[in-house]
Amino acid sequence: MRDQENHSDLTELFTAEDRELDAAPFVKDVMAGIRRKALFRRLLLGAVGMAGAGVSALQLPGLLSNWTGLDSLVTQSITDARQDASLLTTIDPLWLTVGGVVAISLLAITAWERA
Amino acid sequence: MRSDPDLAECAARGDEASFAELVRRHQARIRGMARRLTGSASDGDDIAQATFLKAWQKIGSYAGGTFSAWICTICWREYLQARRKQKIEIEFDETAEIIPFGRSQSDNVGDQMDLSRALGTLSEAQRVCVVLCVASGLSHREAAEATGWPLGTIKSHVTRGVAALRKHLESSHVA
Repeated sequence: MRDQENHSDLTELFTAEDRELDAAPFVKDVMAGIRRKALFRRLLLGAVGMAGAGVSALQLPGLLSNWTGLDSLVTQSITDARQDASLLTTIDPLWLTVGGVVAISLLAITAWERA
Repeated sequence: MRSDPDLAECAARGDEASFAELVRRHQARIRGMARRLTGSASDGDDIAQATFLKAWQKIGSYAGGTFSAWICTICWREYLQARRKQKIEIEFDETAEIIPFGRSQSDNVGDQMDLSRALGTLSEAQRVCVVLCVASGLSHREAAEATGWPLGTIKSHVTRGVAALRKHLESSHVA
């Protein structure tokens, strides 16, 4: 049972005050906040998912090499690519920096062209 | 018109339009409650917004019953959290001017109203109980569940708070 018998007149005064509040901008703000959070969550999940997929892809050659009946050429080329990628760590960091700068410059030029 | 539990069920399945309708229906009550608890329109609206964001996250845990009581409970917790945060900020910033929660000079439009002034004369416990039970329309039991205070304490604070409010309103009308 509601305990409002003794103060329904006061409740009505408060309610009348609240009714004057404009709902539309507030609802808009709340829903925008919800959409922002949902977008951030999707991006975060997507990034984590991509990272997981990358790690899984790295494990794939080892898994496939144990699989009989598959074209050994495919598994060999994936393994070679993985070894080539690991060779990057042995390269002089200076060349890696130069390569990075060149790549960023190319990306910047491409983006500029698109804009 | 669809009931609150129906809308909440759809919102729990990710339907934003249903949740927007719930916000539209309950925003006045929650904003009023938060504004009266904090004594400030802007702080109150911030807490009300945080309340609805939390409600969206937890809508799956709404297990029927009065939706307004459920959302008011979330609002009460958000208010306590905001108050704790503000207390910490004041403790950390020794040079800060200490103003009671939300009572900034530029934000005192609501204080000019009789009701807000009358609320300001109550003790904090009475104000909380009057805001929950009289202004927001919760039953004594719902208010006790929301705050975790004993039912008898809520009842006595409401009775005394309402009496003090009436006295203040009568005196201001006579004057």
